[in-house]
Amino acid sequence: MMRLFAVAALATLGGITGCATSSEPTPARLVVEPDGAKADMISAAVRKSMGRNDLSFEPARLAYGSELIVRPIAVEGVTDRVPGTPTRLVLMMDKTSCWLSGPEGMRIDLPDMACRAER
Amino acid sequence: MKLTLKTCLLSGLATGLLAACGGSSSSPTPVVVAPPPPPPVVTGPVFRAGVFDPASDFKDKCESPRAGTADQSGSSLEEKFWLRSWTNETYLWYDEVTDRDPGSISDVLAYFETQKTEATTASGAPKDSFHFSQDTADYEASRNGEAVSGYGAVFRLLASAPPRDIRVAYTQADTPAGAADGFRRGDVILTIDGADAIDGNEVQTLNDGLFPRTAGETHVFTVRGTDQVERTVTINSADVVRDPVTDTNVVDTPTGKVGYIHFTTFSPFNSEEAIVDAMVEMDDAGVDDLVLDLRYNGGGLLAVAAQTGYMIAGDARTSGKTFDRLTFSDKNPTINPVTGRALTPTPFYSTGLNFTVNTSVQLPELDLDTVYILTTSGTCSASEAVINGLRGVDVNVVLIGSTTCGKPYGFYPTDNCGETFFTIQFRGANDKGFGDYADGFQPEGAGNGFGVTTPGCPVSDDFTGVLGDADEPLFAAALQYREDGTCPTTTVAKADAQTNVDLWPDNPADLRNDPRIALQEFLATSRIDGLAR
Repeated sequence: MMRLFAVAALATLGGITGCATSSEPTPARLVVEPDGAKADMISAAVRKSMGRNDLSFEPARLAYGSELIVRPIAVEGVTDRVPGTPTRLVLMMDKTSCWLSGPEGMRIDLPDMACRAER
Repeated sequence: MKLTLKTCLLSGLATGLLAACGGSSSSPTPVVVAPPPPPPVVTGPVFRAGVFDPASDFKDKCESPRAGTADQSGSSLEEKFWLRSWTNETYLWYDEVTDRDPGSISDVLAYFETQKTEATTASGAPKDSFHFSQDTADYEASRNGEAVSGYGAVFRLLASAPPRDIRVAYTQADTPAGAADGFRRGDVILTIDGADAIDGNEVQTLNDGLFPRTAGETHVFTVRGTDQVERTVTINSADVVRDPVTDTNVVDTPTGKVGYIHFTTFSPFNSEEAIVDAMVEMDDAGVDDLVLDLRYNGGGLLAVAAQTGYMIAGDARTSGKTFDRLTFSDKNPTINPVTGRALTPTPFYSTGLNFTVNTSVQLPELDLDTVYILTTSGTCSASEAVINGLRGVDVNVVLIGSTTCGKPYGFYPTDNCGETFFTIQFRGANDKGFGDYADGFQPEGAGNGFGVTTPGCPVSDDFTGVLGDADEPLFAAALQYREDGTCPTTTVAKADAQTNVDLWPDNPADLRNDPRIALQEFLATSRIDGLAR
């Protein structure tokens, strides 16, 4: 009886661990809201990957959900013909890393970021 | 300066090494004549006419690097070499730029000024009137700002130097300016906080009153209304969020319902929601025709312009068609040189795009064969893309007003070393491949004949009438033209914004001496105005 209970507990534990450290990519969120330096790092990575600076998004949102909407910005009186549409990025993770995934295979690596699986 | 210092250090080091060698000998030696000193060691890039190293070689190499950025220690020479290579790689007319030695001009911004075409358009206007830069911190502050301090009034500086002519173009509801005791469209500003707004020299006082820096400031204006009655307006500034659609109306005529939308900007994200809501209102009202008022719309998000085109023309006419196709220089026929991505045309978007309207929302369709658009020289860029995009799918675009600004071009703001540079990088073309309207679109009979002529009526915007009222001059002209194809015969006193102004005026009494106003006005008015003034 004891042995059976222990096996069941181990199986449950194994399931949780397996979910959290699965090698399969899964939607994720940041463990904590990024501080200024971390937010700047995410911003720089997104802007570099998308090849432009005139973008608006809130990295802090990634602590509360996996979705990040990146919108091109038009500054009235300065940029009056701004190409592009909003891009939906999704924070993903696997056993070793987390990254932002976008359309057409876009992948923006976020080293040194702690992620946990999106529920 | 750093170059000079580095050169000196290297020269000194070389001299020291020579002396050490000479002093190491232990036996007497004959006196020898010292060789001539070596030529100075030149560090940094070397100019070779017509040879351009990659801009990435010079990016972020700054004379004054900023902390916490990608900046590295460099020199102003490298900053200029970056401008030269970046221009060569991305400027639309790179092959019309005179290749100047970056070492021949000391100031970085002065060098940037040389990195553009000097050609003119058919009308004689500069081909490139849109070449400028801005302190990056200022650009980012404006980029991130949701609300700005103001009154909720849009002023037009018809003349910014004495004798000045400053008018209220329109006000926004639910703002200090839109209150009953606020401003009214067409008000002429006579004094501001006691300073003479027409002939006075108190530029600072005038600008501080017109463009308050913070919320909660109180300023006192005397104005003359369109009824010629003078009155005092005491007004408090507030944080005002721009309303992209200020007025809508539906007018019943003997030949059907005519909708009216005053669409002021494509810039804020909520411009998407605002124009969709207005079109839904038109659709629900069952309008037979639409008058789209873009007279003060200087442009913004191209995608929202494409949605606007879709909602006017409808799915059947636009399906599979291009709203706007970006074209870069002949060096970049398939790849966007800024983003590095493949060039794909902008379609007529039929759903929300997630600026503020969810992507699951299907846009309304008015399915119009003809649209009436109200224009002035303030109708610019993305607004002109609506005109051009609709013409590309054979919608009959009738223009009422004056010649549009003539900007089929655009750019990506690019920072280097704390300055954000704006240089023309692409042009737009419609489904027929047409995008050659650098002298603007003009209704028949308007302008100097160099713009692209469309059906319609030349009517000046004299700031009289209430926007959206059927008797407001431009709207009334649209209704008349729609009814019988004729234009008003009454000559309207011409009043349009000053055009082709310099970014930095010489006259100290010019309101544009304030950098805040200078850039705004330069961009708003340094366009080509085909309308004789």
